Amino acid sequence: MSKILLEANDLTIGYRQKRKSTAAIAADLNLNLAAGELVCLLGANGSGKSTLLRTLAGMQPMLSGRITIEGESLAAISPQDLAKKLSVVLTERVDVGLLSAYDLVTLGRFPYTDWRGELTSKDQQIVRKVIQAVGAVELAARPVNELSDGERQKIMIARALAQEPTIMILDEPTAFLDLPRRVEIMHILRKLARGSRRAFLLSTHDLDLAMRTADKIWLFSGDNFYVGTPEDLVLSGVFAEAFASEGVTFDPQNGAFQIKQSANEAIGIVGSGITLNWTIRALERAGFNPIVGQKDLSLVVECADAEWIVYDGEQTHRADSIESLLEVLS
Amino acid sequence: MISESTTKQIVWPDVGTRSFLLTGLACALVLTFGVSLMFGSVRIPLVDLLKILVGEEPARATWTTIVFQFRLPKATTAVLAGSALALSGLQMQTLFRNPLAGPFVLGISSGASLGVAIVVLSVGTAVTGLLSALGLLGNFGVIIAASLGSGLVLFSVMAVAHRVNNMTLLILGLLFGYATSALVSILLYFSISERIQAYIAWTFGSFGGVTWDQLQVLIPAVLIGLAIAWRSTKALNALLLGEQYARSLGLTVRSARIWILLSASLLAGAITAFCGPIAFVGVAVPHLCRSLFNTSDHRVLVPAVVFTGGIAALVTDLIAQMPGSQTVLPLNAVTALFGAPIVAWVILRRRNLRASFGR
Repeated sequence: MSKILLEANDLTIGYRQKRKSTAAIAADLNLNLAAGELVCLLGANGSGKSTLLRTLAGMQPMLSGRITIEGESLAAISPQDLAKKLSVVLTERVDVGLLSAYDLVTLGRFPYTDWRGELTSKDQQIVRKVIQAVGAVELAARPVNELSDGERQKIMIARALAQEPTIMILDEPTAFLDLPRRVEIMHILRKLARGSRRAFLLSTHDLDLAMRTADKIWLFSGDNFYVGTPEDLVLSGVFAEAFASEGVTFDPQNGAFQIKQSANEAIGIVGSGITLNWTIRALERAGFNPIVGQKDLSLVVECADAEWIVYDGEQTHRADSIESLLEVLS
Repeated sequence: MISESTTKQIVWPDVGTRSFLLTGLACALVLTFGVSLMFGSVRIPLVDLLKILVGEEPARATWTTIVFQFRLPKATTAVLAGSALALSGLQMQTLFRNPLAGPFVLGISSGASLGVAIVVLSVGTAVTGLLSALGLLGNFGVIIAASLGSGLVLFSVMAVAHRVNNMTLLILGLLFGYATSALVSILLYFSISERIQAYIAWTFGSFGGVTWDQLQVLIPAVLIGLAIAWRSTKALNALLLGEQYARSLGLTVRSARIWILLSASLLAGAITAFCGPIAFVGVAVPHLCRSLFNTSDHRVLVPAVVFTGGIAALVTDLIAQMPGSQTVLPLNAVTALFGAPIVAWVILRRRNLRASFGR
């Protein structure tokens, strides 16, 4: 068992309002982060993801409970010391003005540098190391304000790494990025976490990517909070249940999410291989409820290589592409 | 697998604090200072100037008096004023993350102008007998009034600063400016024209009225402001990331903010008290330096604006003197008239102003 870096017991998060009343968002959470772990925090908008991250990062007071970082109570750690243990990547876009990407990363050395912020050769080495670690060497000399969103995010991750934290907390690091960039960022984080003495906690809306990347998932669902490996959460049915209320169905067979559509017409489908899989997807998208291997229905599709035969009662239609198949069925 | 990066030499960007350029600026400042001692209503040759400075007898005895009694204190004041205002403006721009911010956004000059208006306008008319006495006190009375005015604003800013956020502070400063200018207008409306003229003359700004005795107050005030700003360099850099990130880096944003406001207000207040509301330098010089040095790093910008501010103030004063003539132009007119095109030219040429505030 690897070393526990962060632990929260009976944690209640939320906001203090005026006149001593409090608005709790989630109560009695018990969590931990271990070295080498990548944890994805999932949940709908407003479910408390950001509040939890901010609370764990010490940026917002907890309402009750206890958070310890490497065995020390979070409240007892000075901001200067905390900055050496924990770093953050926030959703807010930074406008640093005329700084190069390299300069921006050096700001991560803030907790270690002297009162002037001068970098020692050791600081320089660490800055270079983290820029290499996120694969941003060719970005180093470029002005930050000319970077794309994905490049900027890499630099912000490098900046957070330059703090040499044991825990890194990222609030939706893949938001606003296109799919290849999202995959790339998650891949970088995955690589940084594995086998390291660090733990990564990030919130995301990318369910699919989270399930493929995370060692553990923390899931806000309604009033419940679940913790587990992605696979355990799928097998125990937690996932399907959690997303059923969101108007999304989760298929535990293939791990895919679908938008729930009402009154789906059942359709039989016969076939095999890749053609079958993609035909099912097309039918689902068109609002059918495809049932594999079922030939007794009034509507049945038989698919082979680049040919589809539709049996609609007495009638038979042929289609040579998914497009024309959907036209026949409409 | 041998990756390419192990064979290819990585060229890392230079992160030096541009000491070469800064040294150049410092030399330029010394040079401008020397030139400003040579020129004025009378031109003093370089040889004679050097003689005077080392204590020898120049070609004409009056030149010694001119240099020591007039030009040296004035040039010193100009350097202090330019440096202080530029540094104040830089801190305000970074703290408020606003390119339009300057030394006077929080109402420092409004406070000073109200103080001066009360002394110059109302006392002058109400007690005619005091007019002569005021003429005798003259300059000094105005300095006291302006110091009290800007000091009061400084203390109110410090008092509310820890309770409100930056945007509220800016708006309060703006409202305060409107209120004071309204009060000043009323005072002006009921004043006689000579007094109004005296008040207007103060608003033009001048480096000339500061004596050696007064410099003994002004120099320490500016040096304290400078020292605090120097000490805030690292905090200013962290604040480039925004308050949230700055805090996550371990910066105590609350106290850093107080020190920055104190330094900026002290610098602006001291200069306004002794020289009047010198416009433009405080807003423009930081932009000029960002543009020239192509960085927002305060380790470079803090010394850069100090030197550049000093040079800018010396040059504008030199132009305002119209060397060889007896005419003196209003200082504020010169700063803007000559400064604006130069700054505009640099910024348009470098095309990085927009980027410097990311908008």
